[in-house]
Amino acid sequence: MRKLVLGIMATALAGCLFTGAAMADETEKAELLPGGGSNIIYIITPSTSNPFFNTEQVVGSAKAEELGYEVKCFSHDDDAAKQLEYFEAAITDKAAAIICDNAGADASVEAVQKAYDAGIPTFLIDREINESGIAISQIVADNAQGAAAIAEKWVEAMDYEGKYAELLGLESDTNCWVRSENYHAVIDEYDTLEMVAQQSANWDQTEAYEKTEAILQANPEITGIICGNDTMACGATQACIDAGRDDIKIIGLDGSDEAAAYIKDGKMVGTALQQIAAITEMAVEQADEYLKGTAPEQEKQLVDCIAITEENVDNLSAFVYTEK
Amino acid sequence: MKRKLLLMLAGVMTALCVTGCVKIIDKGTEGQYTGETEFDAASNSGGDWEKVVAEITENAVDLSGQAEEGIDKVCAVSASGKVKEYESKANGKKNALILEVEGCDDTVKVQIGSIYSGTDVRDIQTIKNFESFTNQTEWSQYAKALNAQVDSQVVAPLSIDDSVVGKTVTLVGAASASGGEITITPVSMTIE
Repeated sequence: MRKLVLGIMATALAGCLFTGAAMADETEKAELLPGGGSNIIYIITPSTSNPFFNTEQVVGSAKAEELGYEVKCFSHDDDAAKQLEYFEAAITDKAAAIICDNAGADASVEAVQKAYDAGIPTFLIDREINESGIAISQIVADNAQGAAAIAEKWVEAMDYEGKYAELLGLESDTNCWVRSENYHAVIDEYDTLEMVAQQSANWDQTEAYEKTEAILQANPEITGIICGNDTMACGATQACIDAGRDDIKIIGLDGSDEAAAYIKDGKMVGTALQQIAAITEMAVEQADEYLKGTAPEQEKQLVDCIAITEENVDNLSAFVYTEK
Repeated sequence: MKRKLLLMLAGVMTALCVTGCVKIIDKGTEGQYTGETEFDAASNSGGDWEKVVAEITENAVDLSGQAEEGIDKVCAVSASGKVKEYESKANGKKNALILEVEGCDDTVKVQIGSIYSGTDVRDIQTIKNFESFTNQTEWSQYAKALNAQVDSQVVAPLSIDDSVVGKTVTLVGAASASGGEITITPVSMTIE
């Protein structure tokens, strides 16, 4: 038995070493994928019922058309099987490139690999995949930096003390923990700030509203709520308004217009803008440059979030930040 | 042709890697199997600190010469000025010095801990970049670890208290500006 395990391990190790060597060889030669041959760019994103993902399709299409491409947009609705179908359609369509906000870090590897094997370059936006070397770019908002940045503002708004609750996103989602950990990286340095409730509201507004109602009844002493995204923050804010609790300091993350409206009204402390419009434009530009022969310097690229509070909220509209 | 064969072979073996055997490993014991121990930002930053200080010192621009242009991005600065105010927040855990820097109209604030905000020190160094780390969280822990070095190597040895007001501070650090205020995280500092 032991021998068998060792054998498997040795084979696996050899496999990894070989792949490593082959990949190093690949980078040195810097051979670029040719694209499928047509002039079509596929933009595949989660459901556009969320304005964040809608922005990806709208901004991506505009940029690609400006650069002379034909554009086809699809939503995979966070279903990896559906996503794979769209990737296969792109291959059949001889797409020049694919811009994708993927349906899962592990589940999407297969689709991206298929495109790669068909010579079609994929440029990932917003979410990473757990594989390097098969997508040309992975451009994501720095969620860790964004969470820490808005947590700093929240700690100030709380005047460094008090009890608070946290609404987590979908617990299977990487970003749920990246955001939560980085909120706490800032907040937990103050022993005067105490978390008395932590629940998941699964990124959902209605669920956040209901959970907040329940938390306010069980823990009326709280003066703050930190939320993993703006959708939940807006649900929590509305629940606080309806309960007559205008003393509660709330933050979210995304930079949605709905959150911006609450921030303007002083009902929310702030949010961190993921510059998704800028990220999408970068991806389309990099696709265009790549097809013309220049690959981006790095595959994984982080774009800073911008902490949004009442001081600068007027600069925010439709996920675009414009300094006025 | 040979390369293609190699690639194919590698592909098959990787597939074996992925699908060949599955073993559930208890959280926290991965290192025993992979040889990869848990990411330790502190030990990771310790070895870099001197290089980071050297790089920031070399790139530092005199803040007093930046009065007209201001600073729009995070940058390395050197500055010297009289302490106007010793600012203390969060029951003395978040402190700062407000400096009077000649030729600089903005409020100049020097973070002196023990809690530090931001990632400026990390962001202006080039010893390590995001690709040196596995993910965003490690990258962000690295920033925190560098800030911890700021505290232990630069600030704590000076034992600063409110008697510092009126004295002259000379420093090099990472600076960023927001709303008419320049915040500096020092990487070297003297007080006279």
